[in-house]
Amino acid sequence: MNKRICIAALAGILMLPMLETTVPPMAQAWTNSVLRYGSTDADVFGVQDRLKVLGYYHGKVDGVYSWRTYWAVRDFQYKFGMRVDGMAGPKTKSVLIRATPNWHGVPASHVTKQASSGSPSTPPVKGLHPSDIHLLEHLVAGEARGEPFRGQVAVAAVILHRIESPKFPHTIPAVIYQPGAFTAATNGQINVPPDPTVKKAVHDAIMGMDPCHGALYYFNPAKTSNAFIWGRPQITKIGDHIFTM
Amino acid sequence: MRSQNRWLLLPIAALVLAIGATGSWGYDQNNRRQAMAAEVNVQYAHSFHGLQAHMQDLHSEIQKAQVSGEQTGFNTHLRNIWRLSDLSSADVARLPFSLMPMHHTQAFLAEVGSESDRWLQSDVSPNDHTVMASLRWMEGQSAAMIAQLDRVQARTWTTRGGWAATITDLANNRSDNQVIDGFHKMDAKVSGFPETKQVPKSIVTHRNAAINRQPVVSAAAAKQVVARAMAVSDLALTAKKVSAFGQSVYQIGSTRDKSLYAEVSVHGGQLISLSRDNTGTGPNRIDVGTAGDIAGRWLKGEGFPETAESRSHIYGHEAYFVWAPVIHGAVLLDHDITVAVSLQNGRIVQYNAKTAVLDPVTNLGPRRYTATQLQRHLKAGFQVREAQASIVKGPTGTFIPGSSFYGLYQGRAYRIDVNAQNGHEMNIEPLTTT
Repeated sequence: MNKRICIAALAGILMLPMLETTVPPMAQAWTNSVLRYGSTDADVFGVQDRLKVLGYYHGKVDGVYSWRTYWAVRDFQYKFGMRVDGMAGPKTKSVLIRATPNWHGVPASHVTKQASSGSPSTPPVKGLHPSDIHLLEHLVAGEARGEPFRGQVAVAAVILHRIESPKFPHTIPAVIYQPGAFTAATNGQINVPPDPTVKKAVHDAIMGMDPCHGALYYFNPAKTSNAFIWGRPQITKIGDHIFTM
Repeated sequence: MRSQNRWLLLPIAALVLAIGATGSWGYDQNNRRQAMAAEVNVQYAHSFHGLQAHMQDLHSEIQKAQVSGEQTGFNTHLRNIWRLSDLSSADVARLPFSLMPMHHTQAFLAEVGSESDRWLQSDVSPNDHTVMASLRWMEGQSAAMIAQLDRVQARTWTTRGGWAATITDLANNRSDNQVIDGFHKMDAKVSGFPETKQVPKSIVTHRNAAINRQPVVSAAAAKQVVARAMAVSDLALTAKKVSAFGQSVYQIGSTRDKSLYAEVSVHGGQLISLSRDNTGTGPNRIDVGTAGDIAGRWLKGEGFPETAESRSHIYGHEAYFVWAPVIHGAVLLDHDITVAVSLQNGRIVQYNAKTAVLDPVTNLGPRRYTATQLQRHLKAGFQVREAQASIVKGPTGTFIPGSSFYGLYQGRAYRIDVNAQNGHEMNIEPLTTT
């Protein structure tokens, strides 16, 4: 009896390698996620490094599915007769695994880890630098603290409209610090750190949300009697602010 | 008795010491105040005289531009006008802001800079009548400003206390300071371009006509558009017609979901924008690829059968995708359509297509050059990875056919947009952001 058990166990051990080869390569490596431009999944590191080993990718292995990664995936897909779409789905990943049988994981020397702040951040777009976005967040925090979310988006949108208007300067700092433009810039309220809601409001305004419909000015009717601002054509009122052209 | 006198000496000595220390401190404070006042005087005087000099040079360049008959020379004067208007704006920004409370001066200088930049980009001819008329107007405005600045300069020499006194008078709202009075007069006299000059009236007319040709939809139909887009039927929607972006739109809300906000065009009933809170909870359950597929399929149902994805990113628990409409096989740039998908439950939480819906392509000119021909003129060393036909909105508001080349230069990715009518480079967009 003991002898039979030992033989069965030995047979099982000997069969294990065969079992491993019948398991689809995908299950050994990555998730089933479809990676595309903008992805930052953990799988991206593996895709970048495998493509680097094969000579298709020459950028940093940083876990960010950038344009270079996208083009490298397209080159790989074309070379291996797959549908060329620049997205690394399950099929592309499995072909990539088979094409890199000697790949043993991402060496530490290949990895350029992106610094993570732990909180979401707005990517720089349309000529806005990260410093512009931070300044904008501070201004909205100082000007629209306590306003409804849509009102905060609208205040950020006003500043973005101004940099596109020929009547105003063309940079965020120049618009914000234009003499007399924003009370928060002169009374120190701009130094208040923005909370996550304000940051999201600025992000949404940069992504195109425009609850104030192109407004260039806004004011609190309870706090100003300035004839110039009261004479502007009014567009809408959100929270305590009236938005005007 | 002697011991009493000795005890009296102590407080007297202490008093003398205290008076001496206070006097010394006061003298030191006074010196510091004087130094700061002198610093302020110098800085404001520097900015004021700099403004005078730059305005005079600007006026001179505006005059020269009107006389110049040759393109290269004319462009040089336009560049100088742009540069000097920028320098003058910087000088104004360094003066006490209360001096020009109406900001007309700043707006005028910003417009001079914008117009000269636009003319440079459009390569306008030195014989263009519209440009000449604008230059004559600028010449008049700048001459009036210079005359007023000269009067203010005369007063700065005679105002006691100089700029420091001016700032004090500003803070105290005193109306008898001649420097303040001079600046207020100057700012009140300067006026800006009329609004319609920014984009030619004919272009605005064509755009509005294209939109207004579409049938008017009712508020009920507008609410149905939103309900269909949200794939729900019990949101208790409300609708209000407002004027926005030069058009009539319905603003849609919900009494059940206070976070829901949408806009639908009155002409054509197209969804312009939509936002609602992400009610998903827990970790992300959907990957970016799947979210992109959800966004793409949804977008097709909203009247954009053909689009090209230009970029995407993750913000918190949401994935944002930016698409560009494709018109007759060409990608319409700078008319972004944004769709955001919750990575927790796959719902659409944000959508914005304001420009794509309300600024349709009109009067598109013909293409004269193919992408292959245009690619030959790109910089040597720029590795083209993709090329696509595109449409770009030019500085005057017209739509221009072009070709966009995506590629790498020294390891960094760029998109280069080239005018397919004249072969000129229109725009370079850096795609690598790290």
